Amino acid sequence: MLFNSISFAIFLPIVFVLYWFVFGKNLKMQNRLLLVSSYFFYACWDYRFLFLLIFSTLLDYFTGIKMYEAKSTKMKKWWFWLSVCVNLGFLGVFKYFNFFAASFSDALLLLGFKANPAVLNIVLPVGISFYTFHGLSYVVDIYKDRIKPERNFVDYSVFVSFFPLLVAGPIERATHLLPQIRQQREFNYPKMVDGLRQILWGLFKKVVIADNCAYYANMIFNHSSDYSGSTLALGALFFTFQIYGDFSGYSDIALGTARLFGMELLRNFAFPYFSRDIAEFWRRWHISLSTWFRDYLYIPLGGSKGGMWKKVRNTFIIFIVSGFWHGANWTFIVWGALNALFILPLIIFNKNRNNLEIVAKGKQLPTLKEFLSILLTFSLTTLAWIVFRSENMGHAYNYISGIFSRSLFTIPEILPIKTIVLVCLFIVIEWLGREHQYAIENIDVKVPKFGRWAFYYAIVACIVYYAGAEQQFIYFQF
Amino acid sequence: MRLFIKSVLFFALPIILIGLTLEILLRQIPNDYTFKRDGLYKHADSMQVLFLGSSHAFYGINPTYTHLKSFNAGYISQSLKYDAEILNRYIDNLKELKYVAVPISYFTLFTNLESGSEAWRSKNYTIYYKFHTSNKITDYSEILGSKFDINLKRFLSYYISAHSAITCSELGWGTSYQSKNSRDLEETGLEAAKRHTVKNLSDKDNVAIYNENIAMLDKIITLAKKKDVKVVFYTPPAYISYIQKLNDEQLTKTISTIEKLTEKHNNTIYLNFLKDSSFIKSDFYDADHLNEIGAEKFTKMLDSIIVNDPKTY
Repeated sequence: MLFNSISFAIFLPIVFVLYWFVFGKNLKMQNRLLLVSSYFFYACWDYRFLFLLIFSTLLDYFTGIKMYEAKSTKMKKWWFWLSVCVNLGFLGVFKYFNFFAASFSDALLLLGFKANPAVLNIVLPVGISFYTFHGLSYVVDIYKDRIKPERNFVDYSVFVSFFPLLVAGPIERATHLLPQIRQQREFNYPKMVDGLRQILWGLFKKVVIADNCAYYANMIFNHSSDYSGSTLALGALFFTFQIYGDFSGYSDIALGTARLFGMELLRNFAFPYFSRDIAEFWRRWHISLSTWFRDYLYIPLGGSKGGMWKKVRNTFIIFIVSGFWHGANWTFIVWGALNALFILPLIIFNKNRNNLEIVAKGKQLPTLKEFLSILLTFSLTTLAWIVFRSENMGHAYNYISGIFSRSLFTIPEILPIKTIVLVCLFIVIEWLGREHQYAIENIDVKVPKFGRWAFYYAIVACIVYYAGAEQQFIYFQF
Repeated sequence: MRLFIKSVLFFALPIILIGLTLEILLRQIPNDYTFKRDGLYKHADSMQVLFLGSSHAFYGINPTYTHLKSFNAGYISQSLKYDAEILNRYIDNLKELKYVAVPISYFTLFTNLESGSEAWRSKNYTIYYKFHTSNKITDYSEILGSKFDINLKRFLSYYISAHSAITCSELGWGTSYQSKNSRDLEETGLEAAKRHTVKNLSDKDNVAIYNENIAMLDKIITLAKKKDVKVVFYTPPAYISYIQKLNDEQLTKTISTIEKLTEKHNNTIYLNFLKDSSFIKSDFYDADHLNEIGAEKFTKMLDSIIVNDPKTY
């Protein structure tokens, strides 16, 4: 069940009405309803993997309690590693087994040995990377005595499986979401309207921007050898906006949907393409994953303490692991390494925390220096996205070489004016709303009701006009 | 809470009303599906041969040239599942029916309507034929089943420009592929062969589609047998540029499957016209579709075999 599908448009109002109108005064029933609907939502993808989700939930629920009740440090450690190994084991088998088998076979071939690697013909369970990270953060937090285990199984299961975040995040923390699940929720009119508005904006990003850009990005990337440098550059730009529209659109729908049930999820995107350096970009892109790696990998490794060498090593480790988290392909690993490389000068010269506030705060336009910094950061990001999008490293190399050829200065063979205008309009709206949680958050303060509704209807018209075959969200594969 | 529901309904009301109006108006536009559905009733009492199948049958069989009374119920991308559904729905009404002709093209056993690029057409079978075989909500609505701009064009074309959406003759033959508009045979041969070739025949999904299609062929044969109707399977002719690019394994599997099936059932025959040399360049609209000249030639050829009631070709 995709967020941009008719099934979801039917599912959501039914759950909403039951939640507020039937079980509105009974927290226990509300949470049970959320759990049942979340499992139904997940089963719509593939009911067989629901058992994996339930098993993972049960495992972390019990190991959490066992760790807390353990009489010795040794026992506590034992339960902790049991949970970590089983969780990562599942991830390893379902997501990385074939990659390791193929890479091992390739390595043997280089040494002159021929091996036929065992290949598992398995489907990747949707959302496995996300709910595994949910569970892991919960277990680590208990192990480190940051939180106490949740005794109510339904509440804990809702934390892991809450349907808006189940398949592609944001990756939540127990400290943030569990208290909201335990607490009585009140119906709040402005928040509900805000939730719907964010869903609408998310749908616009997905259906109008991402799916339109996807059409051209796919066409150019899939036949990259046929196109000129300028077309390839345009294809890279289309993918840059596709992945942003797709994933931030998904996150907006997830956040808006959660708000309809009285819950606030972690913000996942904060206008990353207006960043002035790569460090700022990574504070604004997929925030819930970046902070997860920071808290559960970078800091335990020593973080920025222990000298320059350790700092650089740790930076490379988290970026490479982050790349690998996206999938079992060398392109993702190189994409992670490239980002680490881009951020390196900022780390070495201690300038990685220079741009903490949003660019040109309180102003209409950026300064020339800011504009050039944004342009440079955007170009580096786009270059890295080429590697991310490519089928393999050979494809990435040919694509990038194709861009930096004489034909870069020719008119692109594919020039979809309508899509380019839409993307430009989108950038303007995002720029105007960059000081808020999402671009159109503040519209009810600035614009009178008539104008506001006209704007909403225009967005709906665009969505209806461009809606067609439901396109999968990119991050569902991770 | 009430204020919220009221505001949401108030906001959604114009969208719902426009949507409903458009849905109703779009359903009123006569199209090939309604035309064929009505044709199957209209000609029920006299129909002796029923042609089913995809575009290869739709454009390649012109019932005007058959000795026996016949009707072409084939249509673009119509897969075996829908052929079987049509036969199942109408066979009881077709009292004079003697033959059912089903094309077995290079792709027939390895594709279905739902998984191809023409999947949006499946809504037409639920809306107009009332086959409730789909579990997709979008297959029950015109406005949700295809892109808005396509619906808008259809709406404007019929209600503003007064253009008809019917593209077939009285007996169901597709009239759009005319020789004067023929396409480049070399180019279309390459394109079509690529489009029709399945990447991996042993892939789990492809095997499932193949098995489903075999089950549909069995269904067609069983339905026909019950009414003492013969089933004529045939592979339609194609141009050399298409044939040369076909995958041997896929083609061999197609032919051997249908040959085995016809050996098993005595109410079936199989005729292979794929490489028939009597079809020349001027018979084709593109590399795998006949034009009006080719359709006449092919229909007469098929008709003469059917009339002689052969056991083999």
